[in-house]
Formats: sequence, structure tokens, C-alpha cells
Amino acid sequence: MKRQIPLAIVITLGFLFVIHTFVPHKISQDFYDWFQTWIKAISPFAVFLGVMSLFNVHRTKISRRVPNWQYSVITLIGLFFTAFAGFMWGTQEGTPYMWLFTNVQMPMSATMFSLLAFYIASAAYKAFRARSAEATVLLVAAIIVMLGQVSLGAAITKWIPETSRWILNVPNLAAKRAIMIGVGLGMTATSLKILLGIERTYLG
Amino acid sequence: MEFNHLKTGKLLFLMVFTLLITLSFAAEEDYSNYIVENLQVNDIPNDDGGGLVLSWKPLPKERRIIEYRIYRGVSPDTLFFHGKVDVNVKTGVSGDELFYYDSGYNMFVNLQSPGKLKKEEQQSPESPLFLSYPRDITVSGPRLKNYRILGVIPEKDFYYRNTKVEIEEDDETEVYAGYKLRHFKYLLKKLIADKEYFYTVLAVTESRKFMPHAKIVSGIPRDDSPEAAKEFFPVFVKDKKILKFEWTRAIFTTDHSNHNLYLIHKDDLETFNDFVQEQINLEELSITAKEDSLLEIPEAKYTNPAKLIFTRYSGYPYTANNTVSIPIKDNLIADEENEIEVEIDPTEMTDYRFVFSFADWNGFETFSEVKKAKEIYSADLPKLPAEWKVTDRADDKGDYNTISWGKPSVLLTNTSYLNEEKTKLLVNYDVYTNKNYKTIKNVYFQVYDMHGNMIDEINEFYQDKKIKIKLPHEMNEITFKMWIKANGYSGKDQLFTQKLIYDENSKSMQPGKLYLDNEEVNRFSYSIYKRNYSNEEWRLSKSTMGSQRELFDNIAYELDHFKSVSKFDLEKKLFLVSPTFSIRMDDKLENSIVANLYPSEQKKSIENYQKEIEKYEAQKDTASAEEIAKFDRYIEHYQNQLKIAQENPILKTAAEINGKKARLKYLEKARKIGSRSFEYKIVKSDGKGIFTESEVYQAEKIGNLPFTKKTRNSFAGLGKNHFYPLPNWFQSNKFATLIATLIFGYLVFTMIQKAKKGKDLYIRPIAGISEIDNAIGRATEMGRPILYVPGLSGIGDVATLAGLSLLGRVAKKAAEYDTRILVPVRDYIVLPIAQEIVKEAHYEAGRPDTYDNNSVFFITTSQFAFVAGVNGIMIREKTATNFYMGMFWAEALLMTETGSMTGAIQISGTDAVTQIPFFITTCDYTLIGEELYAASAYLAKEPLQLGTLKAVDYLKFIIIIFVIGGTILSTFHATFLINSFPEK
Amino acid sequence: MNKLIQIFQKMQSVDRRYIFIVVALSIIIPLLIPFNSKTYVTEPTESIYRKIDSFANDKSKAVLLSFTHNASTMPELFPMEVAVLRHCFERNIKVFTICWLPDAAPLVDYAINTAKEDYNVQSGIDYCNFGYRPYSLRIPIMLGMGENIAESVETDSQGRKLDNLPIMDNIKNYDDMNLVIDFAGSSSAIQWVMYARAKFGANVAAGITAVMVADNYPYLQTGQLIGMFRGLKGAAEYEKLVDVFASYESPDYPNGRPFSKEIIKETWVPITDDKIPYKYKKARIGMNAQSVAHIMIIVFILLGNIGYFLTRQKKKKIV
Repeated sequence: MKRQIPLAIVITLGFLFVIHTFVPHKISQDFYDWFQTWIKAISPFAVFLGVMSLFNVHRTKISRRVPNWQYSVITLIGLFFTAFAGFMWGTQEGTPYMWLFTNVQMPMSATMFSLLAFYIASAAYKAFRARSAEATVLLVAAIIVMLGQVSLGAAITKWIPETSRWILNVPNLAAKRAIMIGVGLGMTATSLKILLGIERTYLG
Repeated sequence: MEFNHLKTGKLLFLMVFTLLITLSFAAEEDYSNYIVENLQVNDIPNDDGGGLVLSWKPLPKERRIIEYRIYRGVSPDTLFFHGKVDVNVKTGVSGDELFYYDSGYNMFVNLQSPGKLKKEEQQSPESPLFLSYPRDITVSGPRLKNYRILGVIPEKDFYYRNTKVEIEEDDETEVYAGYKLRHFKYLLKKLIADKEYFYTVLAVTESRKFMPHAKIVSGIPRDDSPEAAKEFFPVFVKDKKILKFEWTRAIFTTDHSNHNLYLIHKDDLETFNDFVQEQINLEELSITAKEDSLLEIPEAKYTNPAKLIFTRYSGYPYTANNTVSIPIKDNLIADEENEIEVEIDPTEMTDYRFVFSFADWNGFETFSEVKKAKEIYSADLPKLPAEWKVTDRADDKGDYNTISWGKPSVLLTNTSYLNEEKTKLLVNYDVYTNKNYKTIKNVYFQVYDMHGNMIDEINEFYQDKKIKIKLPHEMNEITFKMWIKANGYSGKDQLFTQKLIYDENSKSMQPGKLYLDNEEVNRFSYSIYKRNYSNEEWRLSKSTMGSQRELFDNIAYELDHFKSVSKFDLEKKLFLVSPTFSIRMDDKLENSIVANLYPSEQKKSIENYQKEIEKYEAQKDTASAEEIAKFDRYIEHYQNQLKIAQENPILKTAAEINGKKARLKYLEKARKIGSRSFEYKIVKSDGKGIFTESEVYQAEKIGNLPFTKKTRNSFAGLGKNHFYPLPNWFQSNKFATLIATLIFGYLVFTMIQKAKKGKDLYIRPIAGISEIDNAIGRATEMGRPILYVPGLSGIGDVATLAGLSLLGRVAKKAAEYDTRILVPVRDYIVLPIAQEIVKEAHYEAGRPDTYDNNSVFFITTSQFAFVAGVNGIMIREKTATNFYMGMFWAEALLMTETGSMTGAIQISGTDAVTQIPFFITTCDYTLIGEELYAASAYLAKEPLQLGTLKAVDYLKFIIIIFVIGGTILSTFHATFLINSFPEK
Repeated sequence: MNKLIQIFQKMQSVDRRYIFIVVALSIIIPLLIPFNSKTYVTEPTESIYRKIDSFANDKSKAVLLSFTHNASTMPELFPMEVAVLRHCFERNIKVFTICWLPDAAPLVDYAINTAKEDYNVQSGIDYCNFGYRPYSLRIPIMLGMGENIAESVETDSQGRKLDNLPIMDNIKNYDDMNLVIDFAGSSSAIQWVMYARAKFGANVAAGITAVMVADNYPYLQTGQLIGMFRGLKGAAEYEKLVDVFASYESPDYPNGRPFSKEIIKETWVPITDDKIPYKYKKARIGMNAQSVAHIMIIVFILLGNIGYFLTRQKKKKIV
């Protein structure tokens, strides 16, 4: 029973939503909207699970004094202080919560994001080696596209930006679309497996 | 360098505390500089007396103001929060004055209002400022009278959630429908004309410190005359003796009651101007008189010499018709209904002037410029398309009608040169069509030079909205002749011509005007007007340019009832509204058919009408002639109402229904048909009075309507000229999808059967999947944990589901080898599922003791903070094997590159096309796109799973056949295959 | 020679932190010390420029800038917006602005204030900010503007009635406000194509962040978008185009230099002198950094490959 009931819910609702995509009728739309409100109502409860998990993991770390447990203390302080600031003074512009958001959260996120530039450089350095014929094609294409992006490319010859555009629009797009078709089919297959109860790992 | 964690921790502690201290001990300041100055309240001109405008001097940028809060009340001792103006702290306000418009309906109370009356924050105890109006009816109820209150009640609540409330008023019992606050979406309020309102404003600083409020000021909204029409075009069609008028619409029409047209003889012009001037003066005086009771208003000296030739209710809140044609018959303009009979001599049109006016409910009238009629002949009028149709729009939930007209059109829109010599030209075009000619087969272009020699000819069998043409040499002007072939239509009878002319400014060929049979297509626009059973006047649906061929008219489902609220019941905590509601107008569109929520009241209304008639009949004996005329009008009105109440088929049927709910259900449905069935007409106009108006559209035959014959009989013309949009049960453009789904389902079924029978299904080996076992083994050998990231997306993403099902298999293997697995999760709905999967895997492996709930954990929902967390785990825990399976965005490379730095074996799988390259370069193995979805089936090796996998392969094969076939066919001008698939 | 081979071999296994340092420097140095570089103008940028420039001194034409983004995409989009505004102010073209996200409202102000400082322009006469309109009203307003802008937008950001503003003289609908440029980090320009262009024939262009360019490219190819700013590069190109005549003072052209193919070809506009304020060369300085970083990566790839070949050859020799 522990498995049958959830499975029955999944299958019924799954088929209802499949029908919904083919039926534009008001009844079908209203059902969908009504369901959306349920999702909105349920998801906040999951936040508690998340917070509890975070709290438990770090509490255990602190109580066992595992190496680097001090970081956990900082995490928990961050968690509670931000929540406290939000509850205490609200989340409008000008409150401590917003201050934390704009002056701590945003720059830190931006920092992580900008690391991408460095990582791309080192990944490119490692990856683009003319090990084989295919790898050489990749290498040449990469260099042309990169040159096409900056004025140096156009300065060398006007064909570099042109070729760069061609590479992006023709071979690149073709491959991308092929992958997309595969992904679409894979998604459909997985969804169908779930609908038919073939795939149940997600039930735990 | 050795990191001292304790030190780092202490440092961060210190930082947090410093922050706290700074926040709590913000420097004390003198707040007098923060009080808003120069606050003024003024009436908004040209409105219905429901608007005031506040203005004040914004505080200088250095004060770091973040918002201004506005408070309003009817006495200076109690002001409620009304609204706010947000200010950017960094840029401040650029002007010298800040405005706030208090006009129209705005929030009074709804469910989100504060529960009880509360003082505004950070104010002194004697401050008159309060938060917004509370839900508490003891506070908000008595204040209903201070405003015009409009209750917005959801349909279902209006009909079925009311409480009947009886109130004794002047020895008569009035019945109301009472609703609890929760049954209102909201109660809205609007200022009442000639009532005094008090305002103040306070500033809020960047740190959300509420400053003391400004000096309280007051203002009185006044009803004044509407704005004049900006432009007005009288036109006289000489041969047909028809006057045509068009005018520009006003912006604020809340107060408009009528659109009027007047005729003035040129000799009367001077008197007319004097009259208008006097009216303006009198209006000013009458407003001043309201403030100064001693002022006497003089009698008007002039009477209007202009003769009314046309008047029409302006139909607020809808956009009214702004054109009218008035025929002249026997030197007369006549309109019986409005008692108009004006003499006019069509041979002496130059003697006449015309003027247009907007009139409001208060009797104010504003005249446009006085103009002579432009004389034209009927040949100058635009021609309406021979065919036009109103149909229900397919594939919708029943909220659109389609209006389609004419045959497809083509228009050149833009050009660009393709070479330096300016001989190769890329020309963009657009094709406009409608549902009657859905499949455009070919668009033909013929290009001519200035001497009429043909340069190029193009047949666009696949319309990609661009053509390339070759010119023999650089040219300044070329002419296009274009026609369209569509399904069942050769296109020969509609030849479009358009020129491309070289423009020196933009150094390119610019499209000239488009002509169709000598008519400049886009000089005229089409306006679609519609009218339902509930309104007398035509309203604008949409306008569109002359080259368009189709419009969709939105007929939204009515969700709410709008009801005026002025009374409340303190005991039962109810707000009261009138229980009557209008079903539709009668067939002549003169009287409203009014129903009542309560059947007993419906019956009583008949008695009431009879009583009223008797009352006026009795009064007639002693009344003056003028009063008798007035009473006669009243009596006629009540007699009409009485007749409707007794004889109208809808009300009669409703009266026969016994159940209270069933009766309302019937009425609700009747009301819906009345308000959602529309008749249509088209006006083709140049915007300057030269227009042609179609007849009301009549369908050739009545289609299927989901109503009983009885219902249909109460709505004359339903389906014939009134069109009710029908909801559809099947989305026809998804037909191909449905077929593909069925084929897929069939393939899955047969393949599973085959696999079950033990047939060996070949599946291409995928390196990444076969390496999973080795990778887990490696971690076991090294005695280090495995990291598994199930993507950053939520549970709704199929990639996450695929990632999770793979997690089950990996976790099971790991449990068997007794290797720790760490699963950081970004989505908190994914968390419990992942925990359950890993737990179950441990049970299945027979190692429930090794499961640690904390090994599957939530980090954060913030994308990059999550990456930081995962990277930290990789570095500290020295994970031996990293899996990334699911949906990833920009963070992918940040994780995998860190993983490769720590020397872990990495296997990734994602369907995010943009991230696949990053995974390939940094991971040892990558499952590309669909391989991620296949992975779980590979590992499971169950017939069910393998069967589906094989079915995908076959479907892919079918798709490839279609792609190749479509490419070949369309290369040979056969576009039927492409066209048989929907575009989206 | 052997030593060289050794160096290259060592570079094969270079600590990636050295690469990080080089990348950091190649980004920071060009940002701190601007240098002159060539900017080549591409077709999609040029077409926007041509269109706007054809409105020069024409009081019956206007441009609408639609802001559909918030501060997160500002580094790429802001220089475009300033450059277009500057172009309009310089060439005496009426310009309207509207935004669809509440947090975009200050960005509009910021862009206008940045560009207007150097020009004698007035709100309500030369430019007009319609202010913030909720995204949910986007389509109704788009459609409404096809008929009458003053009717559908009603008031500007200062609450003034549009009808009373001098800028609205001769401007009624898309026939007059003939160009709409949507700035966004998404494909929101497509809505303008679907509604304003398809229904009323407005010209639509887009200013888009580099990562979203691919999504909008099909519409550019078909000509439904008349032009497109492609990320920072597009911004840099436009900055240069505006600079060519804005910084061009010549007795031959007292009213500024008219558009010509030569302007587009002129790739060399020095930015190191102080004649051009920093705010008008932001994108080009950013592009400098981008160029150097790209070139550094290419150099790294080449070095890596040379090292790789040398090692392979050595191995072959040993075998």
C-alpha cells in the first residue's frame, strides 16, 4: 500500500495533465489553474524540510567537533540572522534584510559567477589539444569563433567573423538541434515510464 | 599557509556583530529637515469629481529618502495610509515637484488589510496617522459613507454565498444581500465630489526610519466639464447626401454621458461663440459659488443657437464608436427616438458649420473646434471587402471570436543591400491572411525598373519573409507587383503594387506605399465594433491597419460582479449590496431585464411597480402640465418594467424553477449568454471622416449551439448575428502531437512485449554508463566518499527525475560496497525524495545501518552559493568520484573544474545543451542529452525499461525520415509536408 | 633548443592558478588603462543606427526604448541604452522610454540622466519617459499604442497627461514612433515583433545580452527584427558610431556630420584622450578587456598545443 497509493496518484494526475495539453476547454484550464494553487500551497511546507536538513547537518557537525566545524557555526549564524532580519524588519527596500541581500549575497554570487571566466580559460587550455583529427577541427573552430568575437578577428580578415557566424549557425545549430530532438524524446520516454509506473525509483 | 579556522570564525563573528551594532545605533539626527514641505492638494480638471492631485517638494538627494507615504482621511485627526511613491535613493527625484494622483477606484479593504485599527509605525502617540483601513467592520463600516465604494465579488460568491438582510427604512423594508469581507475580492473606494478630504505625506529614509509627517492639508474634488475632442472631421458625401463625422476619442471617459453633434448656420457663429464663452464662465462661477455661498450666479444670457443633429450615449466603460453617418432626407435630418428634426439645405453646405461635443452626467458639455464639412463623392469612400465572416475561434477555451475579411495581402517591410555595388538586395516582406486562406501556397513577386521593364521574378513557395533580388545596376526606384496563391484561390484578382525608393538619409531602399487596385492599403484602418444583449451601444473591439485580414476578439469570462456598497450590518459583520442584477436588455435594447437573488423579492417587485404606477396616476390629478409629462414618463417606465417582470421568458422560466440554487444557476447562465454573445460590424476609415461602415454581420446558417431551444428563443438572433464563443474539446494543431504520442505508446507496448518474450534487444553501449561501476569501485578502494549532485532544477524538470532514478542505482551500489555517498540538494522539494531514494537503496542493499540521513542534505536555493557549498565539500571531503546528473546552468563548469582540480573521477549527464561542452572538457565521462534519460534503463536491464529505450530509437528513426523527406520535398516546391505540421 | 622544449613541457602541467593570474590581469589592466583599438561595426548594429539616423531632425518621427530588464544585466545593456539616447539627443530625434519591471524604473532615469547631461534637452519636449507599466499590461499597451499612444499610455512617469506634452505633436502611433528597441536579457523583443510589427508594421530592434543572442537570431535573419545589439560588442559598436560624428567638429558640417558609409568604415576612434567622457566609452573599454582575455586564451591554447606536439615528438623519438 505504501507504494500503490502514491503510484495511483501519479498515474491518475499524469494522465489528467496529458489530457489537459490536448484539451483547451475551460474546464481543463480551470482544473490546471486550480492545481497550480495547490502547488503554491504545498511548496512552502518543503522549505521547512530544507531548513531542518541544513540545521541538522550543521548541528551534528558542531556537536561532533568534526574538522572545520567552525564553518558550520558561521552557516547557522547566517541562517538565523538573515531569517531574523527578515521577520523583524521586513524585506522591503531599506531594511537590514535587503542590506544583507545587496551587500553580501549579491556580490558573493557575482564573485562566484565571475570565476567562470577563469575556469573557462583553464578548461580551454586543457581541452583544446590537437590529439586527433576531430580534436583538431574542434580546436580550429574554437579559435575562429573566439577571434570572431573580438575586433582582432575582423582586423586579420573579414572572413573570420563570417566563418565564425557560419560555424555557430550551421554545424553548431545542427548538432544542437539533434541533441534537442534526442532530449525531447528522452523526456517523453521518461515521463511515459513514470506515467505507466515502469520507472519508480523516484518513489524511494 | 596553514589556515586557522578558529581565527577566521572569530573574524566573521566580529563582522556580524559590527553590522548589528551599526544598524541598531544609527546616529541620532534632527528630523525637522526631513519633513515634507509645500504639500498642496488640487482638483484634477476635466474629470468626474473623483480626483485630486497632491504635489510636494521632494527632499534633497542627501536625505537618502526611499519612499513617500501618503495618508488620507475625512477629518484632520484620523488619516489612513493611502499609497506611496517609491524613490530611487541614488538618483533621487529630478524635478522640483512630486505628484501623486488620487483618482479612480483604489483599495479600501480586502483580506490582506490589517485586522484591527493600528497606528502607523514610529509615530508619536498623538499622531493622527493609521495604517490602511482595517478589516474590522466596526471601523471600516461607518467609513463607507466617506467614499463611493465598489465591491468586487467573485461570480460564485455573489450568487451562492449571500445572506438576506432586511432593513427598515422610512416604514419600508429594504432587502439587501449581505456578504462577509472574505467573499469580496476587494472593496474599492473613490472620492466623492464636493466633499473635503485631508492629506499628509511623510518621508521614509533608506534605513526605513519614518519621519514626522507634513502639515495636514485638505482639498475638495469638483466635477467639471470634460475635455474637448482634440480633432473633429465633418465630411459631406455630395452624391449620396450623407453627412459623415469622425472624432478623436477622449482619454478620461469615466464621466462621459453623451456624444453630441450640432449644426450651426454660419450667421449664428458669433452667438455660438458667445454662448460657449458664457458657459465656461458660468461653470467657473458655479464652482466658486460652492466655496463662497454669498456669490450669486447670474442667469444665462445666451441660448445655444446650434441645433442638435445627433446624440448617442457614450457607453462607458467601453470604448465608444467615434464615427457616425447621418443621411439627409428631404432637406431634413431626422431622428425620431431623440426627437430630432433639423432642416438643412444640402445644396448650400458651405453655409453650415458643425461642432462636436462630449457631455457629462452633470450636464457640462465641451465643444470641439467648429468646422465646415469637407465635400467628397461616394467614389472617394473606401470599399469594404466583399466577404467577411465572424466565427468562433478554434482551439481555445471559449473566449475568442474570429473576425476575418478579404483575401490575403502582402507588404514589403524592409530592405538591405547585400553588396557594396548595391546590386544585390535583400527584401523583407510580410503576408497577412486569415482562417479562410490558411495555407498560403505561393507568393509571386515581379520586379520592374522605372521604365517598366521586368528585372526579376520570384516565386516564394516557402515563405521565410525574405527574398533576394538582383538588379542590373544601382537603382533609385523599383516597383514590385505581387500576388498570392492560397488554398482555393488563384490570387489573380488581387494585384498588389509597392515601390522601393532610395532614401538618402538612411542610404537604403525604403518601402513606399502599398496599393491594391489604386487604393492605398494602409491609408485606411479597420475597426471592429461589437455589441451584446446587455448594452445598447457599439463598442470598439480592436482596430488594425488596412493590410491586416483577421482579428481575434477577446470575450473574457466574467469572473466578478461589481456592486456598489454603502451599507453594512454590524451584528452579522456583513457588507450589504443590492440583490438585483441585470440579465440583459430587452429586444429593443431599451430596458434592462432585472433579476433578484431572492425569488420572493422578484415577486414583490411586480407589486412595487404596480404601486408606483398607481401613485403617479393619483398624483396626476393635482399636477401642473409640466409635472404630468414627467409623471407620464415615470409611468411609462414602470409599465415597461412591469411588462418585463411579468412577461419576459427568462424571468418567467426562472420563476417556475423551484430550487433556489437551480433558479440562480439558470439566471447566471442567461446572464452569461446575454453578455458574452456579440454582434459585429466593421468600419474602414482613414481616421479623418472618410469611412465606410458595414452592416451587422449575419451568418448564413446557425451553427451548433450548446443551448436548449427554450433558451435560444429568449435570445433572438443567437448564432445568426449574435456570436457566443464556444470552448473547444480538442486542440486541433496538436493533432500531429497526438498521433506521434499514440505511435510512441504503441512502440513502447510492442517493444516491451518483445523484451518480455526474451528477445535480445540490441542497445548501443554508452561509455559513461558502463564506467559508473568502476567509478564507485574506485571510491571504495580509496576509502573516500562519492558526491552525487542531482541537478539544480526542481522536481518538475524531467532531467531531475532522470538524475534521481540514477541516484537510486548509484546509491545501491555504494551501499553494497559500503562507501559513503554525499548528495547536496538545491531544491527543497527534491530533498525528501532524494533522502527516501538513498534510504531505500541502503535497505535494498541490505545495509540499512549505514544510512545516514545527513548525507542527503539541503544547501541553499541560491545558485552560486550552492556551487560554493558543493566545491567546499569536494575540497574538504576529498571526494573520489563525482556524479552530476540532471539540469545545470552557468554553475556547471565551476563545479566540474573544481572536481578535476581535486583529482576526482567525474561522470556527468545533462540535457542542458549549453552546458554539455563544459562537461565534456572537464569530466571523464559525459552522458549527452538523451543518454541521461537512457542511463537508468541501461542499469536496470529490465524488459520494461529496455523496451521503452528501444521504442525511443524507433521513434527517432521515424522523425529522421520525416526531417529528410520534408527537406527533399520542400526543395522541390512541395510544401504540403511542412505545412501539415503546426508551427508551434 | 632542449631548454625551450623543457619549458614547453613544464607548461603542459602548469598550475592552473598561473592561468588564473594571467586571465585576471588581462581583464583588469585593460579596464584600468584604456587603450585604443579598432571597432568593426556589424550589420545588425549598423541597421539600427541607419534607421535612427534617418529620423534626424524629423519632428514627426520618434524612437521608443523599451526596458525589459533589471540591474543584473546592466553591464551589457546600459552602454547600449546610453549610446542610443546620446544618438537621439545629438541628432535631435524624439525619444520615448518605457519599462516593464518595477526595478527597471530607476535604470531608465539613470540612463536618461547620464546621456542628457551633455545636451540641451528637456523632458516632454525632446524626450519623454512613460515610466513603469506592469508586465501584465504589456500586450494591451503594445496593441493600444498601435492606435493612439496618448490614449494607451495616458500619462508619463511624472504623471503629466501625454496629450498636453509638446513631444506628442505629430506623434500618434507606430506610424510615427516607427522604431521600437527592446532591451532585455531574454527574448522579449519577440512580443514586439508579434504584436507591434505584425499588426501595425512598427520596426522592431533588440538590445540583447550576449548569451541570449542565439535565441533571437532567427528573427534577425528573417528581417522581423530590423537590427540587434549583440551584447557588449554591439554596445561598443554603437558607441563608436555615435562618437564618429559626435566628436567630429568641422566647419564643413556645422550641424554634425551626416550619415555615410564612411562612418561605418571608420574603425579608428581613439578613446584614450579625454575628449570623450568615460560614460560614452564604457562598452569599448569592456570590449578591450574581452578582446585581451580572448586573445590570452587563444595564446594559451596555442602554447599548450606546441608543448603537446613537442612532447609527442620526443616520445616518438624515444620509441
